[in-house]
Amino acid sequence: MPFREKMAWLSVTTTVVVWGAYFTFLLTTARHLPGPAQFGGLLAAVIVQTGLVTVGAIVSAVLSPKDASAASDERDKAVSRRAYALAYPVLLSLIVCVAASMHFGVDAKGMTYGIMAAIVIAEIVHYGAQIVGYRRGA
Amino acid sequence: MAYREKTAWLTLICMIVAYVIYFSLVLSGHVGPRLLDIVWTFGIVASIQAIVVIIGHIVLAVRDGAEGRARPDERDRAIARRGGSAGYYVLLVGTIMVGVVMPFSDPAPKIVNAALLAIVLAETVRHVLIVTSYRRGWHG
Repeated sequence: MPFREKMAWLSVTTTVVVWGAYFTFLLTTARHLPGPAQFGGLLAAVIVQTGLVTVGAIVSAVLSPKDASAASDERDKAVSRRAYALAYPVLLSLIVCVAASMHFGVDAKGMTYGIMAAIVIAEIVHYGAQIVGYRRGA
Repeated sequence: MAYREKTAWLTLICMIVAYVIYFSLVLSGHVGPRLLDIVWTFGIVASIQAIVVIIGHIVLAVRDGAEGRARPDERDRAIARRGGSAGYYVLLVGTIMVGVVMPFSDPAPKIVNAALLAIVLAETVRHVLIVTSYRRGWHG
């Protein structure tokens, strides 16, 4: 498996696990915990995911140093562009939905969580499209 | 000039004109502070822009005949992906600014307008990259 595909798997897995846990925490504690605690959870999620991806990347690079240090080739670039191009309309549509939600009474705090969710979904689409691209040999 | 380059120019120019007008109205205080005022003004500007772009696409497709009806080739697709990829980065950064920083300091209407600005900037970057890719003969 190419290094960049491994990184895409690692990123999509950590994104689903960490952000899935965070949004579950948010939904279950929204009525009991104050705002700062929820925002602390958000910061913790960012730090945990960054840490997991960094450790995963280091381990992967140590196991296959040649592959990790290689510059991205034409295929990598094509897969990457295709993945971003697929995630872009997803992110754009979700941001429009979040902006529109304010007209239905969602406050600024709700919008923050909506935007975080939009970014997470778009990133899952992005990494998912990358994985599909490598799996199909695009 | 290729058909898809023409449509990219058309979309880019219409978008710049439309949203320069919209954000000028916002900055000059002609758009009220209520969210309904934003929806109303933005809705009118976006609808006029969409109508002009659709009519322009039809006129270009009719004028260019077979080229206008042809499916996008490999190069067209590669250029579209390149534009989408750049647009994604811009939108992601704009979204983080709007969604994570602004809610602590700004009121809801300002956040909505900032989100719209992030979308407009991302779309502008996307179309500028498409146009320059065609101009410079980028092949993917």
